[in-house]
Amino acid sequence: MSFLTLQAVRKRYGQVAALDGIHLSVPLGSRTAVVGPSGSGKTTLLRIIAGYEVPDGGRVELDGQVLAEGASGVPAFRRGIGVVSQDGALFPHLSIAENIGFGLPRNQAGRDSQIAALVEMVGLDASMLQRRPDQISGGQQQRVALARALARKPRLILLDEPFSALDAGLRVSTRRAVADLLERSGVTTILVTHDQEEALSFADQVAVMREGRLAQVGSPRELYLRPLDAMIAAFLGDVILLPADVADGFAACAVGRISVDQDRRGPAQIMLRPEQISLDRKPPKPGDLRGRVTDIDFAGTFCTISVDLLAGESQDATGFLRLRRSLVEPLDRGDIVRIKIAGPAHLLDVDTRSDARDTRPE
Amino acid sequence: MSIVRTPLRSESFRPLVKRDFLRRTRNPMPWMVPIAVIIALLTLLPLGFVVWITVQTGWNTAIALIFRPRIGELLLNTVLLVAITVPLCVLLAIALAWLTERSDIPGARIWAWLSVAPLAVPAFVQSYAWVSLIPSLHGLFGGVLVSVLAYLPFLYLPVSATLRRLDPGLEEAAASLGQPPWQVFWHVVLPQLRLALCGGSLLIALHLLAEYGLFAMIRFDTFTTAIFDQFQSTYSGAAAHMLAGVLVMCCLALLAIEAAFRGGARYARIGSGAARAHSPKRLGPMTLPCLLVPLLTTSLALGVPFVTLTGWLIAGGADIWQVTEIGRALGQTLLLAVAGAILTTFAAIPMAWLSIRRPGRLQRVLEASNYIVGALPGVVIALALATVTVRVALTLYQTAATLLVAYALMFVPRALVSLRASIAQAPLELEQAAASLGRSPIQALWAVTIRLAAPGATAGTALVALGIVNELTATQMLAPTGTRTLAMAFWSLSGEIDYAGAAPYAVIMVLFSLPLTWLLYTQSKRWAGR
Repeated sequence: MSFLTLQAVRKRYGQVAALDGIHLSVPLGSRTAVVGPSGSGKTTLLRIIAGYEVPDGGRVELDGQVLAEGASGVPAFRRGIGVVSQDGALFPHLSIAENIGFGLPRNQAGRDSQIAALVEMVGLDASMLQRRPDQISGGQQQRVALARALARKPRLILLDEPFSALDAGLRVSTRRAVADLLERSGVTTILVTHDQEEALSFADQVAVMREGRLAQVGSPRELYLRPLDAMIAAFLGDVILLPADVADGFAACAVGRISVDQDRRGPAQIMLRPEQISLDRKPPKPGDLRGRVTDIDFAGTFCTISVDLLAGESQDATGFLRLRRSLVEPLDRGDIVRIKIAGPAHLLDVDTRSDARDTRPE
Repeated sequence: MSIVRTPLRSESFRPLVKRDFLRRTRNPMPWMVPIAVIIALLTLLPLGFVVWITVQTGWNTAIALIFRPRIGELLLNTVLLVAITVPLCVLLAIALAWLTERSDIPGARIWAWLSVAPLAVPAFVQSYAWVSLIPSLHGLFGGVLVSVLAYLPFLYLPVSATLRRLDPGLEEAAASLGQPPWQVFWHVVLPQLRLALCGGSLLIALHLLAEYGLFAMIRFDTFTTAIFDQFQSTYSGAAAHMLAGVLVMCCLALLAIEAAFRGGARYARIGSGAARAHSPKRLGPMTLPCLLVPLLTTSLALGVPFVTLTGWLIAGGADIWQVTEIGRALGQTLLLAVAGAILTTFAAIPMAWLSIRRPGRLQRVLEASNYIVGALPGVVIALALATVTVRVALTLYQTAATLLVAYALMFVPRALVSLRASIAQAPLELEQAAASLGRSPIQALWAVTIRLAAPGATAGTALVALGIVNELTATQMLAPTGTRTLAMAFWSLSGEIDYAGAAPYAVIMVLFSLPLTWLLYTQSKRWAGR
């Protein structure tokens, strides 16, 4: 059941189409991530849902209520949608307690205990309530902003890159805490981010945005394993793209003959995730795919290994792979390795957009 | 929930570290400190004079001179003037600033410039324009009307700059929390305008206390006009001194009130990165009524002076352009302005250098004293110098030297602002690099810091010079006999009701003030980052 529905939402800024016909359906209680490179229009989309911007056309509907239809719409302050922005947007002239209570009626009974409960809910200490926003850390500011948005029991929460201003360690822990909290409160959430890892781990529905359009919408697993095109594939993680000749459920390509997940014929592009490829130092048997390690870039937990593919018994490279993985057994430059490929390769749609250079095995 | 570590916010500690670092380094120019202290003490001279003269007068005489109906009358006038003018300016400035910065009012940029432009019309010229238009204009009503028109830009400038700079994210956040637009303005925008409103209001109130020409022209008695009249009739009688004492107390009271209102407010933007630009509010059918606000203000503040000045210029014809006399006044004015501005800038250098290079307790004390000196009306400074020269060094009485010292005392705070900013542009590391290349401290100061600070310092000097061009009170009281600056000539001609004859002088003063006005306008834009 769709809780929030967007139909053909459009928005232009001068010559630039920021949103070019967005259709999106968000189920009640779900977590949706809108992910895309900067400038793809994702923040504009969020601002239109929040009511900060008026769309040029299209329709936004929340729980059966029309929020915006063309230029007419419900103003932001009547939407009941909570927003947590990139920097938290805490009011610098108010204390933490006043910030959290900002949306609550001033003479409401039990207001203070409600504020105290919210602070506890977002995992902050009650002693912080009297401080000013500039006296607490960035991660704490984001939690206060979340508490402030949740105080009004919003129907929908919009998170606009709320973790991007935090440093790496804090980002992961804050993200997990926020996800847990939203899970428990059951509020429908939309997260906007340019960080694919964040989108995949946070959401149960991911929408990839590109140049004002939603390129693909689906579950994180589906998008990761079965992207529509090479750009989506590359955006969501490391990827190996190979040109192939497909027939009868198998693809002939630089790494040999491997099964594919669709039945099609003719030249195509296939995609492998690096985790589908394993290397070992067992002596290769005839018919095995061999490779020679040409470079190892050591960087702690993960190393980048470059491998030349060797066809048959020859010593000439037919292509090469670059894989990022943790080194369990020591490999050295010049080692001959056996390459194994697990699972089917994903057959990409015939992609007119993909760059010729990307089709080279890498 | 996991325990989140709280990283120390290094930004908030940086200034402290820098201060410590500066304090630990050896001071290459130790003699800067005594010079700065001597200059600071000199600027405190008028204040010390007021105290000294009160003690001299004796307790009983002082009480008798202070607690009399005349002072009560003046006090009431002053309080009413400030209490009516400042709130009016606040309301009007907020309305104008909101319309020009946040709405889609047609011609917003032109209205913004026109709202600043009245700065180019000296207050007493504004007053002259109104009196020659409506000769019966006088008293509190006239005083409030002309003051609002003349001083409104002092509030409009900071308020509009702040409005432009405010992070729209905060207002959006308030809206998403269910606050209707007027509540957002009340609870989010207005609190953040507090610093701008306090600063601008203080500036206007201090001008109201210090202004002579404006109020003398429309016959509204304030402490300043009363002191001036006393001075002209009895030179430096005890009565004038006691009036000056009360006036100084009023100024200090204003400083205290402003400090109380300002509170410990800090409204730093918390987020990182540049704030998004505001999307203008649609006025829709309210456009026409809203247009009336800037239209009315501009036609009163600029239209009236323009029309009256043009009228007098046409009525006067060629006869009023007494070229030799105007030329002489212009020459004298420029000479005084340039000499005074250079003296002022040099007097400000040690203090500015100290506050950037040697921050510490002494520098804070100097800054506080400078803040108080900046609030002293010119009439008090002039009275102090006149009395001191008459009693201590008669040869200096009514000399150009004394007048220049008066200018320096009046305008050092103004020069300090731009000097401090420009010295801050020249990092200490460059001075040290020059020292390591074999320059002595003073050579390094000259070759590096002064050179880098020169553009800002020049602008500051120009600001002071323009202030001196339009200075009337102290010039009248201290100038050597025979001196006739533009402001003095204007004043005596308009005092003889020769409004046409005064018009050329007014026009020249306005022309001189235009660059200053433009500078302030563009600076406020730059300050706002756009």
